Amino acid sequence: MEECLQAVVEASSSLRFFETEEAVKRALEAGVPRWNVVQTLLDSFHEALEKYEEGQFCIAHITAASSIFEMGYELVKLKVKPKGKVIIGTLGSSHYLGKDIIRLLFLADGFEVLDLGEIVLPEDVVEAVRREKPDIVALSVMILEFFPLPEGAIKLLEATGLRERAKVIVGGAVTSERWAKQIGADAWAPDGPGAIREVNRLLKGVQ
Amino acid sequence: MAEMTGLERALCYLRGEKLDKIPIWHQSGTIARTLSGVSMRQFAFDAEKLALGNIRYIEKYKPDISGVSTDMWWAFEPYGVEVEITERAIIPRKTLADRRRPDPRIYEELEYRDPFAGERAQVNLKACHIVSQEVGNKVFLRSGWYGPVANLALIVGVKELLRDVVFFPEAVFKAVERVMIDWTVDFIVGCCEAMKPNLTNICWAMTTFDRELLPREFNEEVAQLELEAFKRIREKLGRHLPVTTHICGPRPDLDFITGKLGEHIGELQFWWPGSDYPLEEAVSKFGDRFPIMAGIDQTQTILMGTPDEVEAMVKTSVEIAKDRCSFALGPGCDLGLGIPEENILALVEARDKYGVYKS
Repeated sequence: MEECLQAVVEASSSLRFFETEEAVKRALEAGVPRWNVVQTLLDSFHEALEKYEEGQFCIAHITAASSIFEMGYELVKLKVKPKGKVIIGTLGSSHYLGKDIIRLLFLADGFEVLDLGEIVLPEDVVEAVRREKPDIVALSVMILEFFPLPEGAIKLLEATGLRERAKVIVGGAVTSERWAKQIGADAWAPDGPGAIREVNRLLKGVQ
Repeated sequence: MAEMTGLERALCYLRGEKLDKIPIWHQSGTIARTLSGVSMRQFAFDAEKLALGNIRYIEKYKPDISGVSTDMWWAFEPYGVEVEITERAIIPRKTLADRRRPDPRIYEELEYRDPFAGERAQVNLKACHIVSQEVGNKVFLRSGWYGPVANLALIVGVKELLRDVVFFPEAVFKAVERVMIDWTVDFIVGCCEAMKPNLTNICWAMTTFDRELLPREFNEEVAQLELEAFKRIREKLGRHLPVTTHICGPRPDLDFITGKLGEHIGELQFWWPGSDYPLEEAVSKFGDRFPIMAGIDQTQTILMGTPDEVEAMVKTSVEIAKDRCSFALGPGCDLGLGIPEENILALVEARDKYGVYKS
């Protein structure tokens, strides 16, 4: 088992996609518990994020690391009781790099995550809240054209009587805390660790 | 000094000559579309409406430097890049690489396609020509174009290229060398021809050189590829056109860019306030070498602030840079929809208050 996991560590930490895929498959075939495989992948992903925080890694590395984690997580097909439900989406534009990283961090932190995708509009958010009954709604906006959309989503949730059902966190590369407060969001985060911290804080308020 | 036209003002700024006021650059495809009075689809496919919206924008907001703004995807249509046209923006729906699974064959099999073969390419070239004819003698017109690596990213998907350059850098860079340099050269030369006769520099998007985007060793390679593209553009045009850096990222690596590409740069344009590179530092380090354009924050002050805050922002920027370098006010990127009209108008008022040169 140790040997199989070590192979996963080596391949994923070195950001080698196809080798990690083979190592995960071999580990599963050898009967390594699924949780151990996921934990190993998660450790590598967190290691990449730490290197990014320390300035050793760039966004390109994080993109590669998140791609490896997602591939491995899907291969493992782990079933655990989620600690909360989050719906996530990029409003307006097709930017999904940051949103996908945050999505994986939520997933790795034990949340059930429903990805609305990109080019999401306020009415899509409302429909998803009505249908999925999430604890948290996480919305990102990446370009100026779409800055009015998160506020539109929050107002539409209020107008349809759904605002109290879920907490709303907003973010995105060019957003700010000032803007988040202005539009009536419950939280704002500048980065991945901040998003995890804020979503867990909001979850405590919900439960 | 007599009142200059925007064009005269911009040209003096670029040459480092005496001028009446600090010039202002801004443009916006989405606001121009609103001003055109037609749907986004019609704006995207009708050269006259596209031109009309941009002309009305220039007439209403009075920038000295502006452009023919639409989306950036039209040139990639021949590669099968598909867009969705909404009333707010034109956004990509399909790029070449798979989002989940990296595949080096995408790069190995990439072929050259004529950047002007798509329907909207002709629309954009015609619109450039109309705007140039109508207002090119009053304002300085230009557009922003990307380098060969960024162009490949727009074809395959930005996130996918960032991922793939880590997994198989050789395949990515070979595709750039084999196909994208020629493509970029042909594209930019074609755009330059459409913007005659006022074109004096190439506005080159260099957000690739954001400090956190790519590893430094890759940036070295990207810089070499950009230099090769500059060289071939010069050969094809038969003259030297200096490059304006267009850097709308939050962590612009101005030191790297000026160090590697400095001899080609004719203007340093970047996003501040907003990015982490202080205008003060840029003026101190580069003000004696390049005209510098910055000073308008497109994401906070101009979007969420008041006209008073816009005035304070302009005052601060002018105090930092005026009389220390050849300086222009610019937001670093296109202005977006939802910006209060009074904030855009406040830019000119504030410039007229703080940015006038003594004769």
